[in-house]
Amino acid sequence: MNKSGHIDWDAVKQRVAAAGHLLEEEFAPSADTCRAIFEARARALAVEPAAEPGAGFDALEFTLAREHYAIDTTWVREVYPLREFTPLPGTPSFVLGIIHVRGRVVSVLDLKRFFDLAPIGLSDLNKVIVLANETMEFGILADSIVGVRRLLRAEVQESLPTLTGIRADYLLGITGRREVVLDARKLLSDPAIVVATGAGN
Amino acid sequence: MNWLLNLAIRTKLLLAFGLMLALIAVLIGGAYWGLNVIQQTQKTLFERDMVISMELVGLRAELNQQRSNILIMLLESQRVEQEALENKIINGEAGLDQRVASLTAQGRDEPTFVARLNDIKTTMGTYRQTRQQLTSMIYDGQIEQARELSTGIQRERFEKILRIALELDNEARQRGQAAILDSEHRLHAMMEVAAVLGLSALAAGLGMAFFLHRLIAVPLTAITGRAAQIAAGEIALAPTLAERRDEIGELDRQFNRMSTSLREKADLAQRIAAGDLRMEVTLQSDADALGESFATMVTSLRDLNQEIGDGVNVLAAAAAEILTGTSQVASGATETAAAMSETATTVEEIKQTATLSSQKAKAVADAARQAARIAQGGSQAVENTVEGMQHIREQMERIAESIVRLSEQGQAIGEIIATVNDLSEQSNLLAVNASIEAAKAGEQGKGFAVVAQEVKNLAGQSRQATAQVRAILGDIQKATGSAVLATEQGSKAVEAGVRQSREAGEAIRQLADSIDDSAQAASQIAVSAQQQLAGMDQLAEATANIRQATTQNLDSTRQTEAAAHNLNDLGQKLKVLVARYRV
Repeated sequence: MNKSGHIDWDAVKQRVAAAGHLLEEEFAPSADTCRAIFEARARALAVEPAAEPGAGFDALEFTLAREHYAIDTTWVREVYPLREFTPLPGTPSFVLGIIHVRGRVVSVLDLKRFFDLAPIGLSDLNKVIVLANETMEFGILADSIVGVRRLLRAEVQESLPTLTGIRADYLLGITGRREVVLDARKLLSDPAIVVATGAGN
Repeated sequence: MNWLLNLAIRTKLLLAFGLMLALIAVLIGGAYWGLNVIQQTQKTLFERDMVISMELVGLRAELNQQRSNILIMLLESQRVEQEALENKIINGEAGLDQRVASLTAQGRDEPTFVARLNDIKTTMGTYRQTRQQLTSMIYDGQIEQARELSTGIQRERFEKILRIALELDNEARQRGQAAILDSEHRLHAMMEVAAVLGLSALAAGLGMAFFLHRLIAVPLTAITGRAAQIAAGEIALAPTLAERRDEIGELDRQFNRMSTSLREKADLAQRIAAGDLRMEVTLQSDADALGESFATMVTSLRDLNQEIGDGVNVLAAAAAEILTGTSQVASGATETAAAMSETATTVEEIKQTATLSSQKAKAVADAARQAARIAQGGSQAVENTVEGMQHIREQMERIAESIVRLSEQGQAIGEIIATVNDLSEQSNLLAVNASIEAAKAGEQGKGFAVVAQEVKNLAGQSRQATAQVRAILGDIQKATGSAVLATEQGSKAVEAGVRQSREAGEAIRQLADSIDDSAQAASQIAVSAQQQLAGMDQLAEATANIRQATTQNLDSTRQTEAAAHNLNDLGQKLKVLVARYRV
């Protein structure tokens, strides 16, 4: 109802009809539109990737407590959405609990607590990154998964004076895009975690 | 005679009655003395001469008894009888002695009498001795000798005693007769003296009466005559009596004074009657009632005159005022008559007005009834409006329901989008896992890594699309919310419209009521106008009455005027009358 008190019902009807038409078009795109999209994608894919400047590794990029982390995919078994978990009594506070992944029981660590970061509540999109080597297997919590990217060794700067405490022991370095690169091998071979998991098992 | 006239009447009366009383006292004293002398004489007579005579007679009788008893003794032979007789004789002798002693006591003043009585006494002594001899002789029986002795010497002695007794008796009687004669002489002399004194007293009384008559009664009669004259109203100034200083003279003088005073009062009254009120009344004394009355009367008359004068002035003024008043009343009556005719005209106008207002009131009542019908129509229209409003409200509710349904469908879309988002997320994870697997595969997995990257891009695109859809859905939700709000406001507006319509209906109903009241009031006004007409008729009648009354009033005012004129004349006359008095 506008100020004049009269409603232009015809205009309203036209607008609704146009919206319905657009909606139908969106859900059923025309052949031209589809072809154009596909062409654009194909062109993008056809671009030759740049030559690698040096030695590197594939890193899984994720966010935790509003910070970007990266971890070498060599030690990553898989990424799994956290749907439900079972808390374990008598374990250190950084042990969230255990989850069931394709027939295996995997313990989940909360790095925020492990690194003494500010606690933030779990989000719906929490993910578990399952790390594994020959002896150990456990999951760490991640707020979101960004993707897998190739990191060059040169990109990673070794030490950072601002990083202190326990976190510094598990770091490989930091990238130019301010991604903290975790040392997965160190994490997997950490006796504290082993003792903890061993005590848990 | 002047000194006598100058004596007080009391003294005169005392003198006259004293003289009379003295005369009567002398008369009574003389009579008393004479009677006393006579009584003395009588007493002497009775006490001496008569007693002596009686005693002597008794003595002779006793002697005779004794003699006879002796003689009887002589004759008696019986001793007993003789002794009885002797006892009688002895007793008789004692009686004789007593009589003699009595006689001696009576006659002791006269020596001759006493001497002769002593003679009797001695003779009787001898006689008694002889008698004793005789008795003894008789007892002895010597009768003869006794008889001789008795007839002889004893007889002589007896006779001698009798003789002397008789002589003494006679002397006593003579003396008594002489005393009686003396008394008679004295009585005569006394009667003469009494007669002389009585006559002189009578003469003195008559003279006194005459004098008193001359001295008191005659002048009193003259004064009584004057009093009678005064009582009859005649105030004669008689010449005063001779200079007398007694009560009569005083009475005469006072009468003269009274007459003078009365004459003065009469003169005063005469002057007052003549209109002279200027004099001063002199009081004869403190208790001069008439003088005071005159003084009061003069004062009162002066005051009265003054007051009458004032009253006359007031009367004149009042008459003048009444005249003025009557002329005013007359002019007022004229004005009243004029006003009455104006009033009558006004009443006629008011009647016409009342008729007009009655008609108007009827028209108003009709108009009010018409308005009541229109109000009924208005009320019906309001009812219809309320119904229409209800209909609108129902439509609004339906719109709200549709919007709510729309919102619910948006929610369903959101769920679908969430599912799509989830799918894209899973696709993303799958792409990541595929990348990991591809990395693990090394060089052989490179192509797979590209595919995985593509999958990951698709997943990202679909997430962006879902984000867009979510934003659009948010907009739709906002729009539906505002639509719901608008609908709610519309519904509330409709409620308000319904309420206002109801209020309007109520207002119209009240309007109808008040119009009804107005219609009734108009009817009442019409009735009142009718009554007013009737009242105006009465008023016209009253006006006619007032006109008549005014005419009568005018007549009576004329009469009042005449009366006031008369009053004024009366006041003038009174003024003249009052002016006659000189104050």
